[in-house]
Amino acid sequence: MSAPSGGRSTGARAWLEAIRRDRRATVGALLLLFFALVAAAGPLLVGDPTALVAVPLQPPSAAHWLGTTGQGQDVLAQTVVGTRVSLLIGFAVGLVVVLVGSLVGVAAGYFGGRVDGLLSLLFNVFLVIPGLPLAIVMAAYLPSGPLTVAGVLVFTGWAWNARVVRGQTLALRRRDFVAASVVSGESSLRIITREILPNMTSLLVAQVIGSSVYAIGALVGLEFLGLGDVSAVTWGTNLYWATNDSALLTGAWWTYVPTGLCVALVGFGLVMLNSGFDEITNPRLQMERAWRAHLQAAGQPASRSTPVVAGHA
Amino acid sequence: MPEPILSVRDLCVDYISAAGPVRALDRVSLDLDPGEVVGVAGESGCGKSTMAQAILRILPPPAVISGGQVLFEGRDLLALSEPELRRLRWERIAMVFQSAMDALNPVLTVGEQIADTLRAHGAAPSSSAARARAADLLEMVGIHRNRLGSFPHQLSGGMRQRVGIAIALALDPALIILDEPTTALDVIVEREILEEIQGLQRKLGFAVMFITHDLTRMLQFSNRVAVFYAAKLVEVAPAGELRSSARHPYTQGLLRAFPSVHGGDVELSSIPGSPPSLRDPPRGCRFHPRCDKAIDVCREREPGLVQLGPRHAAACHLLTG
Repeated sequence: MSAPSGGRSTGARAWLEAIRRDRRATVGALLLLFFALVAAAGPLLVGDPTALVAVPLQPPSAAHWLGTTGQGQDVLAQTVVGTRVSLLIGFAVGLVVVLVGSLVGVAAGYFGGRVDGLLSLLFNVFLVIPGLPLAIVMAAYLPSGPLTVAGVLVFTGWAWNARVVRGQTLALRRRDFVAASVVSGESSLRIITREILPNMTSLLVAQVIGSSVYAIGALVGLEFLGLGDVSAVTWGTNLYWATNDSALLTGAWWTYVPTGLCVALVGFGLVMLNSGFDEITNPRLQMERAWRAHLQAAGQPASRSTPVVAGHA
Repeated sequence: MPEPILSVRDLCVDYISAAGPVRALDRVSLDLDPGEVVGVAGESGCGKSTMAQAILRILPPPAVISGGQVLFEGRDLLALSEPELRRLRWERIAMVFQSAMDALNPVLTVGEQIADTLRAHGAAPSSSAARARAADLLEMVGIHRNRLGSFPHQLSGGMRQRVGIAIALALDPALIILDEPTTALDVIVEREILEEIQGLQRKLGFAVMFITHDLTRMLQFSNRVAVFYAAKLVEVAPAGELRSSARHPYTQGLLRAFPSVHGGDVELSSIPGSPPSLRDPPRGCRFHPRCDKAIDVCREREPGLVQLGPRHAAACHLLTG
């Protein structure tokens, strides 16, 4: 006897609804929305970030809300303008990493045999190469620029996703509904895209989010080390110039704290949002939410054994 | 009359959904005497498996037991703590699921798995004693003891289901709940296994709650039969009495829908319509929209159980006259 199935609605409205219902997801979504707005409209509202506008290393004041850099540039303008490139590349890398990783992983898991042997060998080799040192070496030799850094991050980051997706594909491959579509003559492409991938939606979304956190962090890290284009204005180069101008030594906290805080908040927002997505793509969790609320109202813990909430017989 | 071993009193189960609770079991009361076989019949979704799982408190979320009592050997199972429940499950009440054959671990031999159950509950002093008992249990369910070293994939579905029954018997429970134990098997194997269980039941004296769709099978196999409809118990009677003189129109309809091997030429008929949604059950008697004998009061008031004999009760307004 199965429980009454909770209605599963799809589409943009359902996603919004689920985000609104989950407090953590709401916080995450609002944070990301804020940064998206800053990235889109912010550069129009602040002045030229590279212009030398004031005396260097001034603490925050009414004229320059976040103070000035060691070069005499406005920190607020630099932070705001840096948001666009950093987030754009960060999210793009996050998406591409998962795309490449899942394509390789699904192919390895689904086709098995020699294909699996070859692809597995490939991503296992990539997994044992330490990512950051390779990224540093590559970024140092290739022409500098945001696209180079993005390419390096995809190159060093896709293997873990491939491995996770391969494992999940292997598990789904043996399920009856996949066997049924093989028997009914569906093409491999259709089985992969209609039967297997939708069953890992929550995994893929979590991976996009996780990979984006990784990509933004690594991007900022590489640029901080001076491996990006130091003449561009991004969060990473902001930090690069801050240390270059001995901000830590002189105690000029306003030159690196704003950017650092932005990186942390974006990562925080992404992780918070993830908890909401989990519930959207997993109908079972939606049902359990009402159940938990019911138990909470009765002052009962959610027990392993079926709970008894007496009162209204 | 002996003290019942299991006494379910006004048991209610709700499934909690975002749209509000859905009552899957509504004030059901049922007794089981020691050594008695009670069948539970009804359509899919009528609450029979829900009751079985509620007794053991193994209903997964979003289920909540929202009222009633389950007295087993004098203790209310709804008031037990988690460790007490864990001891009670399997040691006193065991269950065989429809998918028991899939509940075996593929990397362990069946002997090891039976022995595991014994050791986990401290029922065997040594591993050699556990092995010996496991072999005895296999033999009890009709599998040769040299199969102790077999892996699950080396056994047929019927044999694996027998292993599931052997594991249920391992700790000498006082009650075994069979939740459609043979639905996944073919009729020949089904009959063999049910006869095996019946023999064991007579020899060992445990009580059985037997859940199935197959009314004919149930009438052969049970002392008493309880019929569920839309989350409610509608009729309970000794098997013979139910077959010959069922009083609830739903039970009568069910009986007319099954062919009898020994009966004469009886026109088979099905009950028109389908069971109501539990989200919004009909007012009055839940069966009235499908009942050809419905009268005005059926649409208004819910009937209570009417005692029609020492062991026979049914919930129908026609019986109160």
